[in-house]
Amino acid sequence: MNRFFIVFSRELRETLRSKPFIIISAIMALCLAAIALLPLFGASDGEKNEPVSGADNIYIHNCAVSENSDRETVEKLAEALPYISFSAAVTDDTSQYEALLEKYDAILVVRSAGDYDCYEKLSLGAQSIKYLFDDALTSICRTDSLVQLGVSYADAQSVLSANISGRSFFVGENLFGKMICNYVLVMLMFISIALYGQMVATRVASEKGSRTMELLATSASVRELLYGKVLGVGAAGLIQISVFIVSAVFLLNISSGSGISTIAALAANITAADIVFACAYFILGFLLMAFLFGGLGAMVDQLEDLSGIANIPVYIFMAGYLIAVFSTGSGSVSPLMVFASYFPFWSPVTMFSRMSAENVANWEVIVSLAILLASCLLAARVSVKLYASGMLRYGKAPGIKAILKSINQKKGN
Amino acid sequence: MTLTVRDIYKSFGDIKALCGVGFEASAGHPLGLLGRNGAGKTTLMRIIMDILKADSGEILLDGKPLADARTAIGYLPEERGLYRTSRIGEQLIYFARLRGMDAARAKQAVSDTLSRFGIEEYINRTPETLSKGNQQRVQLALAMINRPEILILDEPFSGLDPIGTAQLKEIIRDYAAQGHIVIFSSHQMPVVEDFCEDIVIIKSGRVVTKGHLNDIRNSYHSSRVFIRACGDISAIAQKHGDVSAKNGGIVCALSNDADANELLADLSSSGTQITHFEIIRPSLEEIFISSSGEGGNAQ
Repeated sequence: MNRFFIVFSRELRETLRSKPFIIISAIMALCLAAIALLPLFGASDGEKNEPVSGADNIYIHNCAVSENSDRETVEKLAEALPYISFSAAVTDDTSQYEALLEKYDAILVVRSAGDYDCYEKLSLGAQSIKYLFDDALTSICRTDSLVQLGVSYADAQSVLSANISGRSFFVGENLFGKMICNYVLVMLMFISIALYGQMVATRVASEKGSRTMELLATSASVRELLYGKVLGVGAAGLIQISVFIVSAVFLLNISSGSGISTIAALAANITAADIVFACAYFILGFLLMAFLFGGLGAMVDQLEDLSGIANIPVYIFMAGYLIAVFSTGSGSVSPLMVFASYFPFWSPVTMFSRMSAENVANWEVIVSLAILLASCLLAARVSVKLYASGMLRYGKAPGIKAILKSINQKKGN
Repeated sequence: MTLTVRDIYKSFGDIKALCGVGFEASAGHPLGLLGRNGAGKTTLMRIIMDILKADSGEILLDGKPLADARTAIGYLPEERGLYRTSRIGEQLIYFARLRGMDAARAKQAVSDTLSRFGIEEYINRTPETLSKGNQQRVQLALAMINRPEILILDEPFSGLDPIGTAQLKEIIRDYAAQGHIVIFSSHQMPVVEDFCEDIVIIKSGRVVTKGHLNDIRNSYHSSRVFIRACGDISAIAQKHGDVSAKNGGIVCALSNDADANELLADLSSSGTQITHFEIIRPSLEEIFISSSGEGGNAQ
């Protein structure tokens, strides 16, 4: 046990000091800072586009009208939309509109209250402003119709502008907010498990390549070496993810500039059970993959030979991630998704997606975790056999047949 | 202190790697473990170190099974194994701790061992920055870091210059003299001959020769005789075998049915004054070739 802790503490320390770990941490920190703090920089730039009151934050000031537009309708429109200037009159020649739209926010060709064209400049991410005119002209049409039916103009306007005081309340669980949170967790879990799992394989393979493994085997048992390595790297990964999450919350709270931030609103959708399950799935998912990576890492001679053999668990794991992502997108739970939420290679990422699409009973999560735990124990046994067999094996990279033979070998062979 | 390797059998599938290997190694008397490539030396060393399990047989230290081979045995592998980019001091402390030392004792042991090897200035350097000779010293320091009862050395002097070899030999010889068991595997026969008192030669997983080197030499039928005389004795010697000149005398390689005593009797009866008559004992290399070659037989 003591040797296990010695290996564990060395692996943890070496991982925290390793260049890939430091580089990933730095890149992630910069990305987080950029994502979180960009809005602050955006808000302080020189342009003074204040949102126009009553226009749902649409930035529109100058609207030109073609020369032959129906004057009366345009006047009513100007009255209905007082925050927009309709003063300019431009040519009817639409071929010139592209150039004119450098100057105006929109150009209207109004033939009647019920028939008009709206020209806007095409730009990336532009929101059409046509609905503003649609609403206003619809109101004008209806007023005119009511006036023609004998209702006074004032009464008609009063009827049409009747205000309704309504409020909307959502009861129960906010599945959309939960879906966003779970999606982020799934992505983080997939990246972390694959990354740190591969880190175990890399460290094992480099120890074998430098022949340090044989010397280590004379100083500690295979179990102590493998378990210490897997848990040491895993602990480093857990520390890194915790730091990312804490700093992300901190940075986003700064960027929100208020006590009630978006993150806080989203975080409200995460329950304590979610956090417990997330930690359990991350730890068990990592252990499952890391044990397999550790065993497979010992089967190759050099680091360069690792990519082929280590891709096998990555591809299996990735299939689960794809099921999770597509399922999250569709918002429904297919039988495949239900199966994947119990399948040990996939359950760490798919169960969370399932939880975002429907209410999953706690017993289902516990059964899924139990299957995952049993798989981890099995993976640990298999990887010890692979490691013991692989550490003394040199020569060409083994195929599936040789790997299966190693797993079936008796202890000590 | 005696290490007893008793009746070890080990197979890998259909391949019998070791078949009833047994010998004893005593403290203070370095033992040379010899054999051609693939003879089973490395498998045997791994079994002694408990990296591999034997199918049957025993490894005993003073008649008892080894309590913990990982603290009792220091190993210097043929292929050097160090973390290339980790500091030497940190690596040695790590291995010392794995071999049962607490942090403070490990630190002290590293300092003492590096001083004894004259490489204390490398404590903060990485192996990749050292010469091959110094890497080898570090490797040996690592094997001896916890002063193990048994030291197993696989080709410890390969790639070293004569001065480096002499320095390491001295350290290992001192270590053996302090009452430790040293098992030494090498293909450099002159080094083994110079270094080891006892030898074990393995061929195809079986011990074909073992014992004290002098006894083994004496047990081998000597077929060559070196003679110096006051006068020409070639004609007499040629009756007993092929003759060649060497160092002012002759070497007579006796034919199969010839005997050195008969040659000496013939020379004496000829009246020639014999100033030197020496039966040339076989070198270790000759014994090795004789034992490990196609014609070698188990003893």
